[in-house]
Amino acid sequence: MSDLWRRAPAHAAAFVAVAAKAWRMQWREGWFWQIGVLASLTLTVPVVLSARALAGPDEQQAARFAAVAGTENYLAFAAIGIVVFTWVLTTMQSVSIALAMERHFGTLGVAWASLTPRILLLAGDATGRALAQSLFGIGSFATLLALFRFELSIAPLALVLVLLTGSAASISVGVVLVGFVIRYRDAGMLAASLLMASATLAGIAYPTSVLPEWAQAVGHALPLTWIARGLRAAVVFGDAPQAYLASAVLLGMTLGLGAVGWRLFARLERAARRHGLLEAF
Amino acid sequence: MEREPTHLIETQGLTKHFEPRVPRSRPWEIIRRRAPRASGEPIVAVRDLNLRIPAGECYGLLGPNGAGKTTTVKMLSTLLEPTSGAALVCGYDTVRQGADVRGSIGVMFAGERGLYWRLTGRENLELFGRMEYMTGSAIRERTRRLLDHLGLADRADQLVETYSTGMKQRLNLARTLLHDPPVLMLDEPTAALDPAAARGTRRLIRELSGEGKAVLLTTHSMHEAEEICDRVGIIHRGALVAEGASRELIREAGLEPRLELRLSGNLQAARTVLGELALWWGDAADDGSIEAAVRAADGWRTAHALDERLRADGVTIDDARLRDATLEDAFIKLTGVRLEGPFERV
Repeated sequence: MSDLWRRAPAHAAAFVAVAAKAWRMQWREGWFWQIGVLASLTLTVPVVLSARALAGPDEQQAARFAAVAGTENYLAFAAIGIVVFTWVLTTMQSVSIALAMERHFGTLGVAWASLTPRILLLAGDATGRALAQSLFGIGSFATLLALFRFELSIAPLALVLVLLTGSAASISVGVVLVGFVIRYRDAGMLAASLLMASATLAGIAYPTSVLPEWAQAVGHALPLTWIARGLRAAVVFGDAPQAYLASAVLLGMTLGLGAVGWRLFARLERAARRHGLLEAF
Repeated sequence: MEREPTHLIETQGLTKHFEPRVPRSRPWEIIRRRAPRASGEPIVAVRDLNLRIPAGECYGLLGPNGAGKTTTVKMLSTLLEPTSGAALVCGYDTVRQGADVRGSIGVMFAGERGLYWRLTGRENLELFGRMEYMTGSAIRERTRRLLDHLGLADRADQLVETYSTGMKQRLNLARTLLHDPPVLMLDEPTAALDPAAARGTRRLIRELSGEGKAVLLTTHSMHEAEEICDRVGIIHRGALVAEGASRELIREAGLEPRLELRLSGNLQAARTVLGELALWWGDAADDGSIEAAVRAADGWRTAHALDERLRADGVTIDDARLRDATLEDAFIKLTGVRLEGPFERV
């Protein structure tokens, strides 16, 4: 641990360089543009359209929605939910994707034989990827806003805080998962499926109050729930205190999951080295 | 107190086993503790390897594909954990002091991978410099010198994916040398290079060991091992079967000059006549001839004696060359396998 602090500036410089590499390389990939733009719109627009359909002609059903969601602004509610889902999903998976890419490029061996701690290499790469993905999230939200013209009530500082803590918590989830991905070769798809399933409990396109109580309790343990809640508070409700609360919870989750992920990674990465699976697809 | 180990690379009984892997057919095998299902005896990749490489020595690990060379480099560079035994690099244990080991080494793996193809050559070096905790000014200075030295300066700002195989290999070498580590591990560094580039790389490796670096070089080129390695270790099926300077190995193997022949005619009879004298047999050429090498203790006298016997059995010697024993001969004698060209037990 002392070594970690002694070399903190060098660690930070390496982290930034690796993040910049991932950012730069993504923008140089043609598929990244195509999938980023297409996927972000094809996933989000239908959900918001469904919300509008459910509100009925002349929005007679919107009052029912307001009763459970706490806002009549159902379009903004749904738009935030689905954009958050696509953004958080890609951010959580970015750590495992960083690992898969290093294996695919054949660079894992030389990068992991460098001085930078391996978990830092993955987290830095994931951060660069997540930042690039975030632009698509912002772009798709702006597109939804232009298409559906819903109203926003923004608390700027709270918004920034939720975005930062939400990103960190998502990457921490990714760090927890990547240990399993490195040790168990097929864990990647399983992890992706679990992340998809978590959207059901996090109230992406609907308020969590429609879920059974046990499901709501489980949902409270998911970063995705708090990111959606925090962003809705900061963007739809203009409720800064609620957004700060969500940020605090997300910060706690980041620290807790980060510590667990760090320990897990150390154990599972060593097991992978023992079994010769470090570079295996 | 600073540690000053006598040998920069040292292994003691280093051994690596792998579980054999078979295709999985059942979904629940995904979550089994051992993801790739193991069955049968473990594969012994490296067996009881003892190496000692001091500063300033270029040590060649020589062996065919699958002999355990790359596995050894991976264990020394902390990418694989040994099954048993220990490895020290600059006095640091590769299992318990991995970070210290990684701070002391420069590793280059075989092939043209190991670089980010969607970055330029310069961007690659800057990134790896940061990953080795170099300062910005040190990275710029070393990058400039290495790119000049390796003839890549004019292509430094182009994407690596546009480089030729040889250029990628040279950039890989620049990446390995960037942080000026005391220990270099080079896994077949000239494998993809043209003769001129390979010569330049070999010269550079000699210079580096001359500067006091410990160089572990894996190769299956006899010529390369003889030319640049102070000592050679012959590795076969994971075990070190002999070690020493090339000349020593040839002398200790008690090798005689050899006669390289190109034969045509009754080749079945040729195999019978040459019998125990044969060192290796090549593949049959399109014209029906075949190459072979035989021991020739009495030089050309042996050749004349063989010529008479072969002729009597309907075999023609199309070409004959007498050569002093080489490292390759020593290798064949020690392992029973021909390293360069088609593999055939003799």
